[in-house]
Amino acid sequence: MSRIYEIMYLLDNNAVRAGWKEAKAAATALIEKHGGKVLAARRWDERKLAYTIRQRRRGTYLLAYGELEAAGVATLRRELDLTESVLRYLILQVESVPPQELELTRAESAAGFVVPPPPAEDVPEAEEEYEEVEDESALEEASAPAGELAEEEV
Amino acid sequence: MGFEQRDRGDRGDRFEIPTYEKVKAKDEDLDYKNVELLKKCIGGQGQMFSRRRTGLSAQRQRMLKKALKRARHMGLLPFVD
Repeated sequence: MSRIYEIMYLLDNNAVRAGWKEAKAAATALIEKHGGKVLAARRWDERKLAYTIRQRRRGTYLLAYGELEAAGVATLRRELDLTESVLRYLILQVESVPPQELELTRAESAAGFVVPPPPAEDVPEAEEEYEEVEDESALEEASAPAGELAEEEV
Repeated sequence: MGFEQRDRGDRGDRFEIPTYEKVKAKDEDLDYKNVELLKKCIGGQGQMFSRRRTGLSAQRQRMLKKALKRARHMGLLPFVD
């Protein structure tokens, strides 16, 4: 017996930058590969993550609904664990697909709908540290003259 | 945040308990995707508020707990901020 599941993907922005259609197709193809049927799939959001996941500060969320067998869910989970472009996923069983999701999916797949590309401010950890070091040296320079002044006043 | 005076019954002495503005989430969907609502139910360090502070029923507080943990797993909300 197959059930309807809500599958939320957190996709790597590097994979999304190569093309949203391709990234979405790759994610939904996994559902079909494990004996499922995709009922709806759309870009939910692109946002800053609350904490870094695999050195990523931002990510794109894909919300999909699919009909799967219980055995298919288990194998899908196993494959998602191994998929590099999927940072996190969440599979929940739902009663039915919300009607507005079907509408939004239709709107996204319609011609002329432009999915905005993710912003490029996903800075790797190493670069950030380098910037911080620069700031510290600037701070020291700024504080040194202030200290001299204080001494003069005394 | 204010304080509310409470009576300890027959002992006669009074004590103060803090009162908080309740999170108005009575009719809202407690779902992990409802990030704006969940943000109101966590403190400055990302800890979940008690029922006293959310004003939710026991059942809905459990739903909030589940939604919050799911949102944390997906990187929508912090474990510790």
